[in-house]
Amino acid sequence: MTPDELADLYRARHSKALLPLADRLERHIQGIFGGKRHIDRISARAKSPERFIEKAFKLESGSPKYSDPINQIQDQLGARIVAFYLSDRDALATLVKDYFAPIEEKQIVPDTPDRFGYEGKHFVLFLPGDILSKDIPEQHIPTFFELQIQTLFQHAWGEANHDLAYKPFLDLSADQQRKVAFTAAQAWGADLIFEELANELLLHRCRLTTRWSRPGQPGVWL
Amino acid sequence: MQPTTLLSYLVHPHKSLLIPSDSPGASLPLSGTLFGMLNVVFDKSDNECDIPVRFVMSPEGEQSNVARDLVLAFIDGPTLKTGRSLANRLRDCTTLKSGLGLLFLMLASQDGKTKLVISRFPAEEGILAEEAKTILKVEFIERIFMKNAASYKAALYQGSSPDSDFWAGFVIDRQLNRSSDQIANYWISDFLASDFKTTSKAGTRRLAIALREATQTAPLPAKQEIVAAIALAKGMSGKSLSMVSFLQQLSLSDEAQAAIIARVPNPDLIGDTFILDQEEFLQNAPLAMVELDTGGIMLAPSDRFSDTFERELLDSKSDRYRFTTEGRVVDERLRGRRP
Repeated sequence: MTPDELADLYRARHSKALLPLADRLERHIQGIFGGKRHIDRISARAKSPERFIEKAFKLESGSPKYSDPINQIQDQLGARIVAFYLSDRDALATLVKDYFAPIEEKQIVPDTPDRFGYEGKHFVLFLPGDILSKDIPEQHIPTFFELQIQTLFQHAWGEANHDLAYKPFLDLSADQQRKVAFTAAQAWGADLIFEELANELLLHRCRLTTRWSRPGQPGVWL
Repeated sequence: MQPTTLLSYLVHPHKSLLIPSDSPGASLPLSGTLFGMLNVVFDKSDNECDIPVRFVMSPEGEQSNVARDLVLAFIDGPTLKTGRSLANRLRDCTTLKSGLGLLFLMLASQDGKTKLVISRFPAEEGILAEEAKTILKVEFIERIFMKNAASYKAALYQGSSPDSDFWAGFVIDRQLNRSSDQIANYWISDFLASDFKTTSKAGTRRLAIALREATQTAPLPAKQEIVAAIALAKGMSGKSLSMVSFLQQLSLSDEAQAAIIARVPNPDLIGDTFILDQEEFLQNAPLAMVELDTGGIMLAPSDRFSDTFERELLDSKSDRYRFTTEGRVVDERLRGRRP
């Protein structure tokens, strides 16, 4: 398949299948997890044709990374759940496996412990049949989608980093790289501290609620 | 599409035994009576294999699965050697209870599409009578296959891309609904390292929401049946079922069934098998029930219980209430036998 043919194929897939499916996927995930506490947002998106083409022709050690991009790139549909704290993220990861069928589960962390950068929990999951319908051409329906679960700080850092620093054509100076790593370290630290605070304060709140609650009366929440 | 590769292996039970032996296997002719029989199995698999399954990821969370790797290796190079790896895996999962089996690997490729059917037939017993000129020789035989399809198992995989396809397929397991989960797990979980494509909670949630929504949209007589179905679902907890089998087991009227199926987001999913999860069911289709010390029982979907039954406190000391409701009687029956 020539690059032009691939681009045309993906554009057709994007408009006929991925855009409506992303919308349905978002609603489907919201239906399952929307009522859980400490979820900031749930979103889903269709990978844009530009980003897909950019990824499809990516090189790895001088050779094309993908031999069959339309079947190998698994984040044509991507979803994200942003949770408040680290423990919420981990609890959600367990729930994801209850409702979706995974073929991959990864905890993304920097390569070595002395580095700071992108962190998150990633899944590759079967696209749920609940969001499919006859009006979407079968040949354009991807088998899988990618789900990321992040904390608020991981999400915030990832978005800013993607906007400013994550550009394959851009060489960051040493100082800029240190600044990017510094913000990642701060996000990592903030997650850690908030997790500790959540453990202390939410547990305290829970105890108070249990002690002051009476049958038929709402608990007292501080 | 007709099979272009037909291999067969005699698979002995070897689970927990120390020295397993390889089955030599045989390549079968692509014509003749046996081919005709197997071609029917191959052809029918499109309809017969109706339980969606998927290979599970590795315990480390990676995109690899031992059984899928063997399937892909066989599709890539369908030889007696690659087929034997699948036969040996089945052998290592087979207990004495499952017994001797004959494994068939049937593969076809056309226009870039590949179809693989893996089927296992258990050994049956029979009597062979051979008449010579002056004597009749009667012999007991333990290795008769394909006589009875009661315990027949098969798996069907189709696709064109080894990257995105062949992660999911369809199976038939005639023993799946029998009481022993161990037997059912033998084919799907142990041999294919797979699970139902629809998870327990996802399938249960889909069913429960369809039932709950149908209680709001169904015509009045069907509504009562659906409420009763919600109450009865508890008894099916932990069992593998599909939405279709659930509705059939409860003998719901056509009207009630249609109202429930209409609430399923994708009607193609009504045949998907999953294990009913009671907790998930109750979360999505809760029923509220109040039983009085007089023996009276009131039952309604929990989100509409207070609209249906008006509650009035008569005496707080003795905790006495009066419930009132109003409506047209759509069904009235006596359950159980009179003494």
